[in-house]
Amino acid sequence: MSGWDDLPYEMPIGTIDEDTTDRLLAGRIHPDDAPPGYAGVARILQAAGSLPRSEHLSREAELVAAAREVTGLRSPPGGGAGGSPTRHRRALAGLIVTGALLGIPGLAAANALPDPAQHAVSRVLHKVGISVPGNEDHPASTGQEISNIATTTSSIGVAKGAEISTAASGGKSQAGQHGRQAGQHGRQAGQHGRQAGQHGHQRNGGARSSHTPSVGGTGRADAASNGKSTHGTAKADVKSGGRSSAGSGNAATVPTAPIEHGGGKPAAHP
Amino acid sequence: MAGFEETLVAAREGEAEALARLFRLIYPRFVCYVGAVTPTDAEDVAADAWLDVARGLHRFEGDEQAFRAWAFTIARRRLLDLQRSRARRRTDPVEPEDLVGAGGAGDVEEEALARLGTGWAIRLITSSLSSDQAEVVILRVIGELGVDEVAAIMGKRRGTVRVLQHRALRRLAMVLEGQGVTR
Repeated sequence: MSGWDDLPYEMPIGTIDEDTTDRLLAGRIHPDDAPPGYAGVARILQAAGSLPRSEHLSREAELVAAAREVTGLRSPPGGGAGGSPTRHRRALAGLIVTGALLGIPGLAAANALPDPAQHAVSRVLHKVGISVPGNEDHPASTGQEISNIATTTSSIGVAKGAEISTAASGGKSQAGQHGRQAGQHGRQAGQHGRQAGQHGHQRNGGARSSHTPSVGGTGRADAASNGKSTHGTAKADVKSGGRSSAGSGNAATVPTAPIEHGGGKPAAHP
Repeated sequence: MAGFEETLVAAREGEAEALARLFRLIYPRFVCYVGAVTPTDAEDVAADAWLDVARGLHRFEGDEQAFRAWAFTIARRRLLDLQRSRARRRTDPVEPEDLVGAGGAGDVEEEALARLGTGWAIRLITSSLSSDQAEVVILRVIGELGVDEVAAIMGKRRGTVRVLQHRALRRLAMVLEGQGVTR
């Protein structure tokens, strides 16, 4: 303060009350209506309140654009449009990391990861003192071990392949089984051959193929029937114990009927 | 013309026209307010304060009057930061003789009215009053704020603001009337 309030001059300036003060400051008192001594104050205050807005608006475009950028990085209250992309990306990244940190060990503990991942996670967690199932039962986990099996095994063919595959897959490979199935198909083909011969028995009231103990091969039906069978090309396996010859023996003496394929239903006795 | 609330909502979402309306509402006031204290830095400080306002839009709730009060709080904070960071450049009250010289010979009021402009009026206010008195007057006139709002912004009691503004007007009247100075 400069002490102006203490000026010793006689001043014809009246005292104004609070309401008049407020109205002067709000520019609501015209200079002509101002209290004595306050006309100039009223004009000054009105002038001060009449902002020369245009001269300050030269930077409007620049500063509004800048404001758009800063408001674009904020989310409105209550969610609204949902926030900025940056925020969403950060939140998503956080969720992914959290999920990975929690989920991978969890899956590893449940032994639910793919074998290589399970093995890797098991080894990592083992180093920090956490024990989760690994691939300890895996018979061979390196190419060298697999190679050794391949070069040292005494198995051959499908059996060798199955052995190698089983070692490499930790016992999960079905390659050997498929190979055996293929062999079974071959035997089934032989069985069809027998069945073809058995149809002849069936036509003569012979035994059903399902009663035939033979499970493999393509034995000659005529050999088993001591040359009595003259029908078909199927050859009964010697393992059939000669049972397939019972009906075929009659086959040559009984007029043949059309062959029934399928063989599921026994022919009725004449 | 959208109301203030709609403007505020749109401005929060970055709508250019809404932001421009808010800009026109407060930026010129910022320049005058800051310029009353530090004329050379007025534009820069006002721009910083405007961007602070834009950043804080999502936090603000209230009507236009409350918005002005909030915005001036931000501008004042910026101003104080500037004053702390550099040597204060406060304008000291001028001697009455200097003021007479600035107004020319004769009736100061007539000269003042002839040259009236916002800038001149603000300079007269800041040069005639103490810093607190000038700030109260400027916040009330340029910010169009009430006593309570000014008190909150300045961190003073309501009664103190009332005393400051009353003395400020009396002092202005003394200067303009030239009592004991021009006659």
